[in-house]
Amino acid sequence: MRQVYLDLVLVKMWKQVEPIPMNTLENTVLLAHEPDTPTDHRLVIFPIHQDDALSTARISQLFTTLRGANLTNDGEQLSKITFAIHSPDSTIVYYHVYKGFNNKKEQP
Amino acid sequence: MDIKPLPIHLTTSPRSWLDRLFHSITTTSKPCWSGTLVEFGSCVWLQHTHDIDPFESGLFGKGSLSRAQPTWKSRTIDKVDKNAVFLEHITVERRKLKRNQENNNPSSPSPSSSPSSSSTSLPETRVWNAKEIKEMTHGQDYEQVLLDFYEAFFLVFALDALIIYDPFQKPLSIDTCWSIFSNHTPHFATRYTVYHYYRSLGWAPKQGTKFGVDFVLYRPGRKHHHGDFAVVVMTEDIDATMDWKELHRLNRVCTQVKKTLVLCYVIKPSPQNEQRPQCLSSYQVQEVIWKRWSPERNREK
Repeated sequence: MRQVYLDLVLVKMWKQVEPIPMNTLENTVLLAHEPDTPTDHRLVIFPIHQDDALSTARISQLFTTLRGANLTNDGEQLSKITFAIHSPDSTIVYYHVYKGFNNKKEQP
Repeated sequence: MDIKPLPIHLTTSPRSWLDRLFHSITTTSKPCWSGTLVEFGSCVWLQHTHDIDPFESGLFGKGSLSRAQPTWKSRTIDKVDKNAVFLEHITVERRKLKRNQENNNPSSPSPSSSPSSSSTSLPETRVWNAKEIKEMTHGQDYEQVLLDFYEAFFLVFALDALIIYDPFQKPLSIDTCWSIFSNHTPHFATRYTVYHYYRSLGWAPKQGTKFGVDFVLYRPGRKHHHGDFAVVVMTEDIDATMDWKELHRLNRVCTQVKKTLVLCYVIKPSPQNEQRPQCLSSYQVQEVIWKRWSPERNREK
């Protein structure tokens, strides 16, 4: 999580990056505002190591858990989770994961 | 195909990076670099290099806040008084321009006018500037030089150029490093075999995470070029029966990033005992290069 946080704040220079500990997930999620997007839009960023396995069941569980923690992308719903996949050499690759099909024009 | 037994004896030429590293080793009685094991990150934090640049000495390590060589401080804090424009700011401006163009185009509904959008607030640019970064960090360099376990073990095992300490400042032996690295990294012995193989041929294998492969091969030297080869490690335990769909997918990605796909097979005797690094001497490596050819386009050179 620390590496992802530093990447967003010190490298990408994002101002609004808030760590939110999630005990049930044994992880810390980052709630971040992507620059030049509406002020109430947020990315829910889930750090994960590249050697950790991820299944579709696990992704569904994550959506359920994060929604239960009232984390949203636009103040109303959680339509996507952003995975920050970090490797041992500190390279981080980001992926948006959507719960089902999304109309592209409705995305922030 | 050549089957190359391990271990491969390292040979050096006067101009090679290995020669520079060997020279520094033979003139001192101790390994020249030291680092601390970071188990949760599966890496080694390189702390003391005695004025030898690990990146110049064979592309070892990576800056934790950079794409390759650690340059974060020189890119940010050191540019406070120079009114420098950062790439991140350019990215924000470019996105703003694209958004304005979309809003001005009457045929495409913009996110702000979409009835499904709950937000009526305008986009806001929230990016730190260099001065704010410097104040926030008190001028300190937050970047670390990190070695992945393959690099670290190669420096310890093959070159005796690194000593690794645990968080309690206790030096770790070669066998202890092997045991820890093997426990943290799936198929460490297999992948390290390939790493060691290409290092001994003069290549610098780096993590191939962004391209969906195990390693990308770079040629160390004064001028850094993009890696030309993307290596996928295969053995009985890993992708032994890769199907054609996966192969096409891999090759497509490699072609788009202008890299040649290399399938590297590691042949192990059975039964396998990977408890100690001595097992490497019985491993063999075969490599196959995959390159798509379209007869109608006549791309073959």
